[in-house]
Amino acid sequence: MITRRVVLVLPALALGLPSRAALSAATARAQSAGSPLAAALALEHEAVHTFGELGARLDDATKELVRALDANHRQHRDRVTAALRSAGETPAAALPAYSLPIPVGERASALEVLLLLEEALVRAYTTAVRSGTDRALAGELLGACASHLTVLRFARARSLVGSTDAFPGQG
Amino acid sequence: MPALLAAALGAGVLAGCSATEPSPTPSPSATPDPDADYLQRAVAAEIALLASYDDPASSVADLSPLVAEARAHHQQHLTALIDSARAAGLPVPTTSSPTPSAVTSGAPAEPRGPQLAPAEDAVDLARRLVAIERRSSEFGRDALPTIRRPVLAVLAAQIAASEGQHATALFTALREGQIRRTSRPSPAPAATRS
Repeated sequence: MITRRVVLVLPALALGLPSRAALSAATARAQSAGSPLAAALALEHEAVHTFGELGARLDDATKELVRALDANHRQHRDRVTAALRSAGETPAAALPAYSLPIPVGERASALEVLLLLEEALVRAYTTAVRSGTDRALAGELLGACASHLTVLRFARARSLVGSTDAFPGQG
Repeated sequence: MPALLAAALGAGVLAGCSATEPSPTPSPSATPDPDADYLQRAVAAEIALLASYDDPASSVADLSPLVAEARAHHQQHLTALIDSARAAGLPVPTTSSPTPSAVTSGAPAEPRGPQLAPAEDAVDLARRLVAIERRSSEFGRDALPTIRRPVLAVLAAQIAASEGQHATALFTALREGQIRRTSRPSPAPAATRS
């Protein structure tokens, strides 16, 4: 898994775009057009789509976890949408299709994609906190996605050591 | 096993989806700079949390890897908070109090719960740490709207998120049966001879 991740991230780093490593091309385009919270919404749309799609490819036990995370992301999506409307912005709808950032063939690669999405969301909400746009909501959802990272890392490695960060979203 | 993780979600361990919002931490007194107030309280809280992880039961094998990781993070949080105060030209919060109780009693408000009893059973300690980490995470999130400096807001949000991760990891370890009880049943009373 480490090898796969290095393969994915290094080209992005070489391009100076590490934050885009986990994003589909469609979401990357959506992100470039909006406010930090709008960018987070674009990722939440992608998360809802991807968790739903990949959940079907997982074993029953992991599927249950992914279903719970999917439900959380649907709530996040709705709350961010409402926050954007309250701020006078027009929230973007989900895109018709999303491409996966890496080929997904089995459980390990599916979990890797979900982890990459959560990492991108943590960075997006960190940016939203910095911008001051609905900071309370952004901070809360940053925390939620960081906790998603912890349970997904555990599901991937079966070890809770190394599943937490001192500063989620940093770097 | 992931079914148990999913149960953790249902138990509200993960932030962001709870039905009830945490009430804001009341500020006992108005201060000219809310960032200084946050820093003072956050530093006191990190010191108290570090002390909580010094409980003897935290050295048991089941808990020690998680405790070591969390302690390292809290030390990093403390350093970052002090560095942020210096960078912002704010008073550097006091860090030299010798005991957790002294630290928390000196703070403007108590964002945590009571300190842990020594030599607590590992499972009970883990449960308490979950509660303390969650309260600490809520304290940081509640402070976010009042923090003026964007850099400090990001730090507060990241620390809160990190503490939420600690709570999630400890909760998951408990649910997965990775932390076992260390307390022993009390010895039976000696039989009375007539």
